[in-house]
Amino acid sequence: MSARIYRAPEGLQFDGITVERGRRKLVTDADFTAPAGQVTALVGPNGSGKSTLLKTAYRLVRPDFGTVRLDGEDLWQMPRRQAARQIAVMAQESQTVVDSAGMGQSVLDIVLMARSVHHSGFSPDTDADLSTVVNSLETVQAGHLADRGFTELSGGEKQRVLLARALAQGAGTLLLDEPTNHLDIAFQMELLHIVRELGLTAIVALHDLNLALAYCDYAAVLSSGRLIDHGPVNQVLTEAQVRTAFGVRASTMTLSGGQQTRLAFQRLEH
Amino acid sequence: MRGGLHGTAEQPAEPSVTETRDESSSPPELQTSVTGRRVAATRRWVLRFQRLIVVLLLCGTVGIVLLSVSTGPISVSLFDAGRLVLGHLIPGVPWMSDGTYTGLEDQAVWQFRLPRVLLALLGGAGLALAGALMQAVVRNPLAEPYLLGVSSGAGLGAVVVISFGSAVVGGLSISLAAFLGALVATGAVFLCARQDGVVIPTRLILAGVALGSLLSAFTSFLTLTGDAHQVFSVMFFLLGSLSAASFGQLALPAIVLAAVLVFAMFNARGLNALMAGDETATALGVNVHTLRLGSLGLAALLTASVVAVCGGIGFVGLIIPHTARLLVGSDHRSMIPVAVLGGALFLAVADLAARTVAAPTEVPIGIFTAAIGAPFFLWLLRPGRTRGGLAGLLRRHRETSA
Repeated sequence: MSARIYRAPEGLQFDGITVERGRRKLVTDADFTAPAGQVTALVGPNGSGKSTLLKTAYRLVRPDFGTVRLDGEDLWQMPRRQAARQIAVMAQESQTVVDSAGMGQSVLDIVLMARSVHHSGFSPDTDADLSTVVNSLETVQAGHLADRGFTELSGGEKQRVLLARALAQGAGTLLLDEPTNHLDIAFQMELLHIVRELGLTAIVALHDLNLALAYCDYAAVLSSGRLIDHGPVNQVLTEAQVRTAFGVRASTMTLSGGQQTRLAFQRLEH
Repeated sequence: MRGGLHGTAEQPAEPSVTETRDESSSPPELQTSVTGRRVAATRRWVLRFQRLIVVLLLCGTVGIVLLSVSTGPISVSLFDAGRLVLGHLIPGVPWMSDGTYTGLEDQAVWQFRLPRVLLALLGGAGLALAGALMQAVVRNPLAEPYLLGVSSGAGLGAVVVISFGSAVVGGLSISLAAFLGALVATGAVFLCARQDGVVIPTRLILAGVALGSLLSAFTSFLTLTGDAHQVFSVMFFLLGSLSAASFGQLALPAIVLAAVLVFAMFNARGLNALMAGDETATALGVNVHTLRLGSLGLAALLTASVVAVCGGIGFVGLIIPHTARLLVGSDHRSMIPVAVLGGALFLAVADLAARTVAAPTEVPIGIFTAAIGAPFFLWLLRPGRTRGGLAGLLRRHRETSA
């Protein structure tokens, strides 16, 4: 391994990201940094470019302009596997694709898969791999599911397993694209609590602004592909900003104890 | 929590050391946690189970080769057949020159039966491997080697030669015309399945079905408007037959099979990831487009090289990969070797049946692959059977110990 100068982690930096599809711009000049070791909420209406922006960071969509840097290094300049060792993803498609393929993967198959970023070709799984997988499954409280078929699981169990896979990758940065879809409220909170406890750099695309307020440190708001605000979550998810981005009226409530705020929403009458 | 998770993640791979490690040096998670102990304990059984399957398949393969070379109208015992084969491989053994065997026996074993059974092994292995690759990269359990129009292209190529004679296609033999027909058809399907320069699996399946039907229509037209006696040879090609096997035909499928096998094993982890979705695979550092295009192209080439000499043998490429998954799980690192060996053994058994059941008449082998394969597969699918692989054994272990 080449000698590397120690550099303070700088987080995941989106620098002037623009993504075009034909003549349409999906993301326009997005510019922000998800701080290292913190959980960043990525919020915005449907079709505002949240998923697309995340995809530029896990190398599914190459930005037409701009660079994505992880701790100062351009993600699109490094080899694929090197990037995959540093960024783990819980993508939106994962559940449905495995279900429809019908190849009978077990929970272990699904989670062990993550370890392939550390191996090449035909090599067998090591004890270290297995223990990482066991660790990840237990972190999301899914150890008892190890021997089940993935398709047999409930929606919530599947999301746990997919989170375990992302953890088993051993990356320092975690991207989650609407991880709380199809989950009941208790497990929505459980999942984000787990992510927060990990202490990793994380970006979570979320629809529920109150979950963002409760579990995220930082927030970035997208609207029609443009980043309209970013900063500490309490300063970004305000009544005025919600009105601008989503076109709904929001009222702030302070929870007992006075530390935390939540939002209640009303339809904006024209 | 963080320390445990990431401490182990950074360790370099030590593939050769792990199997000989004893319990005391394995990471603590595998001993202290309930899940860890269960996973670690059953993994030993899994490795043994997989080895057992591979050994059984290898023994079966050797057995079927001996049985095939000794069975036929000129009866040769298993022992004598083995000695004859060895005699050709080892120069200067006494029994080859002292008149123990007649020329007829020697010819039956060495010139007819041995190349035939070897072609069956190669063809079965090739179709099973091609099927496994196709199913993984298009993520569809109904995918099979003929998905890309290979068999209909080969069929049309062969029928053109049978109907019009080889002169119209520049003196090509039936096999070569079939091989070229297969490659042209596959290329056409590829072109139709591209969108923005990327092959889309669903488009691929639809384009393959559409083009396959078109080519089959031409084939049927040429067959039925041609001479009546040609219909029989066309049907024989379309249903598949190994009766014309010779050593000369083995080279191409053997070389292609070896190359594709190396490719598949080297990309086994990537194939696993691809089955979980393009996004997931990308996030795991797999170059999805390249792997898919490479797998499809190589699977098509392998299928074409097999179909050119064996005809359109059905069912092997669809059923054997699924059988391998049911036996050892869906991880390609263990599933591909089992599928390749299983396909080889299966086609050799089917061919032996095809030439003995109604002897001296020979039945097209495709009838037997379906007649033996379908009931066997349905038996594997029977309700209540637990899954194969690590997870299946883990569950059985838990159920028996509970």
